[in-house]
Amino acid sequence: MARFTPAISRLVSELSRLPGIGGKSAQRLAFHLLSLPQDKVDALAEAMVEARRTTILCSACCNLTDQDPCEICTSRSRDRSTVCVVENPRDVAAMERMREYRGLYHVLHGAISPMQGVGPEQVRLKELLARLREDDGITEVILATNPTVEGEATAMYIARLLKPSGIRTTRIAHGLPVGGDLEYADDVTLSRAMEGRREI
Amino acid sequence: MRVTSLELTDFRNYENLRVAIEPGITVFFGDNAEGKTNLLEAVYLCACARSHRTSRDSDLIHHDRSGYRVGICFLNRHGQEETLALSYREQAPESAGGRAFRTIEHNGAVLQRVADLMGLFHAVIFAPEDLMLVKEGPSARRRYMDLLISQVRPSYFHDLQQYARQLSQRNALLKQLRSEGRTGEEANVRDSLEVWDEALVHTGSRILAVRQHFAERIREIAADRHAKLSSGRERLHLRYRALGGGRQGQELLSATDWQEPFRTRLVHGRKEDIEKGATGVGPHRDDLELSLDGEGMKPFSSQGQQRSAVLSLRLAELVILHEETGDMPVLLLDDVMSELDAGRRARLLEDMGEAQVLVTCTDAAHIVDQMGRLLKSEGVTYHQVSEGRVDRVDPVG
Repeated sequence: MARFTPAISRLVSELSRLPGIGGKSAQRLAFHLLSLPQDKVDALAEAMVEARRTTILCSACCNLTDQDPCEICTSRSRDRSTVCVVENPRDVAAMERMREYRGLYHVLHGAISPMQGVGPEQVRLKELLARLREDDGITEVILATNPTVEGEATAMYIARLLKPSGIRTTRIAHGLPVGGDLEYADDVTLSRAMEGRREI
Repeated sequence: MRVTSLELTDFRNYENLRVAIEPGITVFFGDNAEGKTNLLEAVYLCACARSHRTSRDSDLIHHDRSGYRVGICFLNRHGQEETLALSYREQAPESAGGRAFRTIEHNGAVLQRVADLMGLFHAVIFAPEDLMLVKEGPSARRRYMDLLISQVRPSYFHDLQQYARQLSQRNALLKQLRSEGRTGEEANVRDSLEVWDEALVHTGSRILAVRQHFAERIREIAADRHAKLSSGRERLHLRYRALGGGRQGQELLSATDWQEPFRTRLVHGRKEDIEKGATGVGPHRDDLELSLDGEGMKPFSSQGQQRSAVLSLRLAELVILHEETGDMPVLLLDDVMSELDAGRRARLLEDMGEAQVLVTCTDAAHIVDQMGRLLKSEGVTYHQVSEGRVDRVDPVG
């Protein structure tokens, strides 16, 4: 790094903190930024600062928003009796793409993982429980955490907490991708799909 | 199932090697430490994604290099050619997070999971390291069962991986509770522990049921082979010791049946688990107990008894793979013919039937005597192995 000016070194080291960016990529990005006209770089910097400054967590669902409560939580066309619990804001975006779910969300911002020091207190679970306590219009909680070891454990933890409340708690199904051929499904997914079969 | 070629890059002592493998018996001969075993190890890697000698991928890399690649072409049981390749890089591209990574390709397409490799290509290896099965602790025998079952039940392999992850999570939580001075009686502690208990019970009970089922088949076949090896004088006893033994008898339980006993044991051991910071009971602690029945549970006394027991276990593996897949796995005999006496060799030859055999030895002329009976019906190809080179040579002697 000695051969870079202090300003470039600083830029490289800041960039290399980003997820998926190592030392070499950080250098490449830095030199790309330096080759741009000043106004393009200003625009990028401004976009980052602006996005960061105006983005807050919705006090109801904990999703990222620029107004509190967020657009989904205030929408009149949403079904307010159903809450879909997901791990992160990207999952909300995925659900919304489907355009079929009309209920509300709750974003945990993570999943329980003792190995990473993430316990129930480190995800936004308290907020969910408070919300369910205050709003007795909610009759179903859909657990849509990822089908990973951590996501499953998180779903199970929430399900146990909700049990005494009597709120209907469901877990999304996992199985075959739609439109695909059975023969191309991997064995593990196929065996889970068999496990989760139902009568028609 | 038949291997038609083997290709190695920066693997062990080979920089670049491509060997065509003929049907029948292929003999790799040469002095010790010239790289004969590495060839069999590479073939075995394509069946199980694990070496029979080491669990560390870095051990397999050629001196001074940063990764290796092993590839085979083989004919599946319908006689169609397929390819498998396994490669390992110590340093991934930055886009992949910069960590060491493995790639498995089947017919040129990258497999997403190691579990997807299981069941594509089958091999059984007989090696000097097999003695660990009787000499060492339960982990060697669990590994034997796990590798065997994974080859015929890919979902089992996936369960093992899930279980290992769930176990690490529970153990991390236990250590955290220990450092906080908890006992496990507190309500909120119980809630978070029970989530991981249930996760282990869900996956572990499936592992227990499958293991118990296969242990029973291994027991039958191994006992039969061992009785023949000892001319009926000794009886080999195998018992799957699940959840620390106890009341479970011979009765086969379903995964659902295993849930309750496993859950009970976990809850029971909770306090101790927190003190130790580790989970004391579960499939990760089970054993496939071996004993010779003469006067009760007698441990193996002689080398000969140990060898017979090990050979019986490997023969059981061979028979089960054959039965499950309807196809003979490729047989890898690593320097074992010389260690077996005539009786044990004859037994091995009987079970291996029409299988393709890759065998290593130091003395090529000697192997002809040792495998005499097979040589009449099958072709034999000789390769001399020396300093990372493999040369096909004309029949010796």
